[in-house]
Amino acid sequence: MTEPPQDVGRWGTARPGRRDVLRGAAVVGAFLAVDLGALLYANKWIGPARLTPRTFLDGFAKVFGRQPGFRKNHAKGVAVTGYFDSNGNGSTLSKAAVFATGRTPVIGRFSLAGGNPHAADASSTARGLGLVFGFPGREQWRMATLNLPVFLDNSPQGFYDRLIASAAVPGTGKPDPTAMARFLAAHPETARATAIVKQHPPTPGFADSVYSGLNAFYFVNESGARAPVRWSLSPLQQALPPSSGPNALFDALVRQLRAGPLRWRFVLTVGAASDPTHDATLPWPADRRSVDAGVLTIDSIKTDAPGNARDINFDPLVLPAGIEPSDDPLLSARSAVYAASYRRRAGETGSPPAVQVDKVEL
Amino acid sequence: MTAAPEPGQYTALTRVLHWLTAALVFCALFIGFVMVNSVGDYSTLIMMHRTLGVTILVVVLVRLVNRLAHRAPPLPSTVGALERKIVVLSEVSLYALLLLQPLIGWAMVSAAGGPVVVFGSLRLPRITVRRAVVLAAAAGSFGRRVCTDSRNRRAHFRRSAAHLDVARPDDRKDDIPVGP
Repeated sequence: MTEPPQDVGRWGTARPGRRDVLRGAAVVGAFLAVDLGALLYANKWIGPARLTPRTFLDGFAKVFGRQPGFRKNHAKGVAVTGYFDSNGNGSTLSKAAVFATGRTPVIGRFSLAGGNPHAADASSTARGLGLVFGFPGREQWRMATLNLPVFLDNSPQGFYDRLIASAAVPGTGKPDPTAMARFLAAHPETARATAIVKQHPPTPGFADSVYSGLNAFYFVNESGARAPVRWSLSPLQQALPPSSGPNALFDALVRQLRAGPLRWRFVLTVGAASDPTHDATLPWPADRRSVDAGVLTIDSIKTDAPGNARDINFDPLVLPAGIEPSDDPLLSARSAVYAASYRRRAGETGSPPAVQVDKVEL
Repeated sequence: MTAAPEPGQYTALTRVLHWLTAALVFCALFIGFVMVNSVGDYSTLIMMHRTLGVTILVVVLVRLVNRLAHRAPPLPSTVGALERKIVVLSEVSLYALLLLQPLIGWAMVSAAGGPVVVFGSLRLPRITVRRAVVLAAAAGSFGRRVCTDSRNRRAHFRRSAAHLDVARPDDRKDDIPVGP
């Protein structure tokens, strides 16, 4: 690549002519200029302003402060492990090994949305459950689920604008209502999704929340049939009431897991050809066929620490054969921003996480 | 390709492989820069980047065999002794880096713990950095064997290829096995 273009493959000329040297220099110069221009454009130093993963990370830092060492979103959380017992029903939809009858190990992380790892638990904060099935095998399935019936945004720009509009105003500690009103006027899809979310108030705790994958994916079975699918985890227990203090929800989860495992039914919902796959703010009709694929059991909980779920990027595009991405633009965006968040926090030295499992009293 | 090259000229195949490598490396580099700054196109670009990396690896292996099987044109008489050393060093470095860079990328994706998917759905085994170095060294020593078998070998390249031959039989013993 760096071989001088003036080299025409012939050696032996004692001294190249002045014209050859100039022409060679011009070719090399032009090549380097194209390289430099391409580099500047790729790094967005020139050209139109575009959203980059860095824009999101900087947005989180702006809204929640710099939080070195932590996930830039869902910063507060706790690592869990367990397993998924498949009943084989899912294999009619997907050839993924996880849906064959049998058990797959699972690593997960319960979290609260937001970039402040020391924020006090609030029941209105979205709860997340990141999961990876079959780690660290070749046929892994990673996902990040939320206790919401639909997602609030249908585009990366919408997500970013909502993040910025939700920034707490110094003094009140609450978002600027006019900024949020302006955002909702510009993003009617978020206004509609918020109305749906309000019809599903949060449950008392992590243990009794319904966690949904929200984005649609295509499931492909052995015979090659493709079907749009969304999934959710339906709790098989009540939650202990939240305790008091800044970790009220997490402490209750820790206590409950000490007493015994927690279980969720893994429900696959099969969309019709007309159902939207590109927009997770739009619910699918309630009468869509659902398949009970088995039971997820969580039986161990640990403080976020090196080597456990803390160090897993719940990238929604790490999929086994038999599950394929849909046309939802948020999938690529999440994959990109999660990777950037991972790269950034991996290079930072953090402080101890707020939820210390061993320090939760009985 | 079959036409014999003029004296002082690389063979047509060598030149095709050279510029193919150049184009692939430039594309991989540029896509890499765009990729890490992309949001909506990230998943497509990262697949292209990985696919290009694996393609470069294959092309460079072919290129290595070709390079060792064919005599390179002699350097002009105006090239001095020190410059000759620099030419040899830069060529050996070029091959070493072209082999190592895709292998390190492969090892990095492997280290992330996820599947290594190229060409849309082809799943590659996971490799460790140690294995990447062993593979590169194995390619180097394979090339050296081809070189030894070839009438057209050049003494200086044989010496240089020996530098690549860092694989030792016991290197494999403590190599971390790939996942299940």
